[in-house]
Amino acid sequence: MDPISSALLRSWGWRADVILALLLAGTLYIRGWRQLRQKQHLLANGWRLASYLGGLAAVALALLSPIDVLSDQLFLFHMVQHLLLMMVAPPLLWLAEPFPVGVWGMPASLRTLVVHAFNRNSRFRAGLQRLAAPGIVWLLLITVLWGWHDPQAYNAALRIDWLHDLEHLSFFGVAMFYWWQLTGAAPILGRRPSTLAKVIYAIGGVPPNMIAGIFIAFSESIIYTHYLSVPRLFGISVLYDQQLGGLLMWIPGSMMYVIAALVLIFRRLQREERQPPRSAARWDGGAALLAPGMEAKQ
Amino acid sequence: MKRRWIRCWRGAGSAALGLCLFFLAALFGRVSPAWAHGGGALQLSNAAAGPYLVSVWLQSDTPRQGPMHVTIAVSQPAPGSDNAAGEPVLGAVVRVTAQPLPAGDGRIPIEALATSAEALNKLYYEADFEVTQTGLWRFLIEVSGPDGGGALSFDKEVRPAVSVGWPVWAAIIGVLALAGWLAQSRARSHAAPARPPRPARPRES
Repeated sequence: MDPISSALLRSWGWRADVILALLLAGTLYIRGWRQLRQKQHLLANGWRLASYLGGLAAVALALLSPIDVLSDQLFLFHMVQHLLLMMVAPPLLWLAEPFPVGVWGMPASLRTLVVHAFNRNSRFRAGLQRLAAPGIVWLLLITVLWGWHDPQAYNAALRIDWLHDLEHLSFFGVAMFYWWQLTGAAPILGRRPSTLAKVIYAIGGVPPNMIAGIFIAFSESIIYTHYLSVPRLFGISVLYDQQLGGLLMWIPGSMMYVIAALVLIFRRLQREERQPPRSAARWDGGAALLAPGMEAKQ
Repeated sequence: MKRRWIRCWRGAGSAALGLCLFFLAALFGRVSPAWAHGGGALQLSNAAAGPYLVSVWLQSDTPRQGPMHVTIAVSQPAPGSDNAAGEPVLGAVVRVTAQPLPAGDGRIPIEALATSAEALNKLYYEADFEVTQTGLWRFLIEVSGPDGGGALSFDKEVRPAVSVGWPVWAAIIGVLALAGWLAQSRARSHAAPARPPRPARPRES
C-alpha cells in the first residue's frame, strides 16, 4: 500500500462526544430490544436490530472514520460524509422503530417522563407536531442544504470545528425529520399521510439536491477555496474534485428519494394485492360494465 | 393548572439533565488531544519553502496567551504549477520556532517539533506549545524532506488570555445537576393523585 493511503487509513478520529452519543443510543435500543424480545413482541426482530446498528455504524463511519479526514482534503468525500448522514443513517434508524423500542430500554423514571412528553395533551408533542409538518421540514431541508453550501458558510465550517459540528448536526437533524414522515415510524403525532402524499413528499426531496448539485458540478470556477490550500490526493485537481462532488450530490443524492418513492408505491401495490378480490358477480353486472364503481351505489 | 406546572417542572428537569450530558460531552471533546479537522485560521497558503509548498493554520486568527496549536501541510507543487498544491509530503521533519519580538532582551524562543503522530489527519504535521507572553511573535517553520529543505515565517499578535478554566465548567455542571435534581424532586412532591370527577349539580327546577 502506498504511504498516502496508509496514512489516511490510520486517520481515525476517536471523538469522545460522538462515541458517547452512539453508545448511549445503542445501549438504549439494545436494552429495549432485549426486553421486548423476552415478551416475544413483534417489534423485536433481527432485521430491525440490524437496521438500527447499521444506522449507528453509518453515523460512526461518517464522523469517526478516515472519511471525516478526507472531507477536509477532498470536496467529493465531504459529500460522501453528508450522504451518509442524510441519506443512509436516518432511514436505517427509523426503519428500526427506535422510539417504542428505545423507550423500553430507558429506566422507569425516564420512561415515564418521555411518555408524559408524548402525551396527547402535552405542549412538547404539539410543538413537535408543528415542527414536523411536511411543509416546514421541506423548507428546513432547503435552508440547511443550500445555506451550508454557500461558499462563505462552507469555508467557515471547515475552519471552525464547532461550526462544522453544527453543520453535521443540522444535516442529520433535518434528515431525521424528513425520513420520519417517509418511513411512517412511531411516534405518529397526527394523521397518517396517504401513500400519494408520501410519494409527493419523497419526490419533493429531489429538487433541492439536484439544483445544488448541478450548480456545483457545472461551475467553471472554484467555489470552495479551502481546498486550494490543502495537499491534493490521488491526482484529483480542485476543480475536478468539485465537479465529482456536485455529481455525487445531484445523482445519488436525488436517487435515494426516488428509491423511497418507488418503495412506497411497491408496498402500496403489495397491500392491494393482499386484499381479497371483489366477487365476480359485482364485476360482470351490466351496471358495472357501463359505469364501473357506480354499481355499488345503486 | 397544577398538572401543567408539574409537566413543566419535569420538562425542566430533563432539559437540565440533558444539558449536563451535553456539557460533559463537550468537556470530553475539549480534552481530546487531536483537533477535529486539523484546521483553524489559515496563516500561509501554499507558500514556498525550498522545493515544497507549505500551508499553515493556527487554531484561532486572534491567538491568545496560553496553549497554541499549529497545523502544517507540506506538499509538492502540482505538475505544471509553481503555487498550486500537489501530493502531500510525508516523513518530513518540520520544526516550529516561536520568537517573541523584538528578539533578545531575555525573550527566549520556543521550539516544537511538528509531527503527524498526534495529528488526527496523518497527512498533516501538528505541534502544540505554550505562548507565555502577549505582543508580537514571529513563527518560523523549517521543513526538511527527501527533496531538500526550506524555511518561512510569519508574524502574529498574541493577545492576553481569556480562558474559562475547569472550575467554571465544574460549577456550570454542578448548578445544572442541582437544578435538574430540584426540578425532579419538586415534580414528585407535587404529583398528587388524580381527583375523582366532580358530581354533576342537580338542575334547579
